[in-house]
Amino acid sequence: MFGIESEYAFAVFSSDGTGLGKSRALGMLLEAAKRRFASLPDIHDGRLFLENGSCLYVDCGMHPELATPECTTPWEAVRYVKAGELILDLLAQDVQAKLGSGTNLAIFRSNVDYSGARTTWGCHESYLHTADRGVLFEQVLPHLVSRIIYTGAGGFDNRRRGVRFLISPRVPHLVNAESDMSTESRGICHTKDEPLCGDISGYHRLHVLSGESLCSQRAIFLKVGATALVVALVEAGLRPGDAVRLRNPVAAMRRIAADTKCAAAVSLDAGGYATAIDIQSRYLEAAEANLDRDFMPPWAPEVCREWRAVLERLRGAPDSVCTELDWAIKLSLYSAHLARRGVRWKDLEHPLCTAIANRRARLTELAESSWVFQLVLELGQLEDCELESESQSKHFGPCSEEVRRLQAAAWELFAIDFTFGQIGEGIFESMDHAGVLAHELPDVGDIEAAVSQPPAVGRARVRAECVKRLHGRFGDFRCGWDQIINVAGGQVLDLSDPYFPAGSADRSPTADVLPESLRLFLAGCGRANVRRRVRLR
Amino acid sequence: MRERVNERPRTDLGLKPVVVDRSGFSRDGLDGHLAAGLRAVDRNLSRIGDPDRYTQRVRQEGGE
Repeated sequence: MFGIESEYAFAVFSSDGTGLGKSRALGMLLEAAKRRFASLPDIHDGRLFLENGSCLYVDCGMHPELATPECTTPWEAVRYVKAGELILDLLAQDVQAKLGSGTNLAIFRSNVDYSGARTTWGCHESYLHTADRGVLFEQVLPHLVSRIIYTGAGGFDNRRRGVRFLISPRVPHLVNAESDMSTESRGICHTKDEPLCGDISGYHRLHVLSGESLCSQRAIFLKVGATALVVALVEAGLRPGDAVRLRNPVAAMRRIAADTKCAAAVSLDAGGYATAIDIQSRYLEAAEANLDRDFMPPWAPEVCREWRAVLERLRGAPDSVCTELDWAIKLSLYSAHLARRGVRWKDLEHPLCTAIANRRARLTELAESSWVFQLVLELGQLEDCELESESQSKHFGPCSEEVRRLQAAAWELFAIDFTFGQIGEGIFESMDHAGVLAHELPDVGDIEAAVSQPPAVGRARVRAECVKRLHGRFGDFRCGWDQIINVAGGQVLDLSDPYFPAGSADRSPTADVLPESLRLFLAGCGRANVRRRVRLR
Repeated sequence: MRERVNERPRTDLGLKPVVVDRSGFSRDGLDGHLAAGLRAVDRNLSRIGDPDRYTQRVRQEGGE
């Protein structure tokens, strides 16, 4: 069982320049969710559980965030990530309709900021497991480091001057293999172990921080599917990562992220070197060798087929995957755009190419507290004075046209990359509508239906049914991942068992399949002072 | 499609428009995905106006 939490970049534009504050706009987005969808408030804060079992909230940094319901197949994970994007697009339309013409809300599947703020935001994965936590971390780490050759979003290193394309732009922000923090000193994995299974013992949660928001269905499918298979192997007592333990995982990840041919070799703990494709192949072979074992999920053969096929194609990277994986689509497109501008990637590596953008970012910060700086920005005086200040450059010569041309190309690339994954009108969606991409998977299912329907298996189905039935009684009920509380009646519906109800894979989430204990909970709604816990059985 | 609020849209990108023929390839010999992608890039660059200014306006705080 697994789930994905995606933070989305968010911006508000207005035609008169005054703008609606992001905080207020995000508040309106949540209010729109309450109007459009059945929902229940979270137990602790301002989160909303929606009628498809997912959770919508505003995370730190003013990002809307959507956590999928608990999923049990990789197709389902893709379906609910995409349904979440559809939900956000619908809500943005609702807010815009309310505000009238002149204001535009924009939501982006992106992972790093290019304004000079040097920030990143997350797309975290969670995998429920019963393995020893230390062993799992050790065994899965080389997989997480090397999988970026197919899970990378593509983009630019926003922590250095100059323009450098990376397979995975979050990698420079990951400074530890494991960390107990997510806003600084990030790890590839987080150390927290919150299985959200109440008092049921034995479950743990692998919380992966290194993933990125992706557009390609195939990339999301492989990200979740391959990682879940590695977790299953380790749960069964196997050690698929032993032969490919890395001498320095963070350094290896940086090396792999910078090599768009996917041929960079990284040092192994036991000596010798291996490429990311070599490392991935070892994990894949371990999965294939155990396909007929009971501990492997029923969808394992299809994941292995896709996994093997993409690794084969990656041997010809980047061209061989330039219509299916996010980073390769971007690289081919950006290279073609630069060719039209007559600019070479190598020229953009010079620090001066981003000098103005970085200084403008500093002034943007100052402008928040000073109208004088605001005026300077508005009058467009910055460019000339900044160029003057950089006139000592020996590389290009003082204030040369060449500098201006390269800086213009750099800013274009940053803007193109940011809008590549814009929801509703981004470049990826335009290419997809033109039918020129090969990223879709036929078994993902009905994404539009998933906006209002939960997964067929597991407690998300029960949660969603409760949300639909109890919606409109705000204040009376509070929802969590592992419980629903009847505040007035003092009852708690226990959803600790994530797989509840068992054996219901082919049944629709209708009232007649709800367990008796849930009926009791729903029937008891409104009774005062009845303090008891209802466990689903 | 939501209404767009443009930010000083650019009418001249200084780029030759990408024209796609019936086969899906561009007149310049670009294959289908690049031709479609570059047309989308041009639309977006026109829509967002000054790229540097746009990048500042979509500035994001760190998350997670």
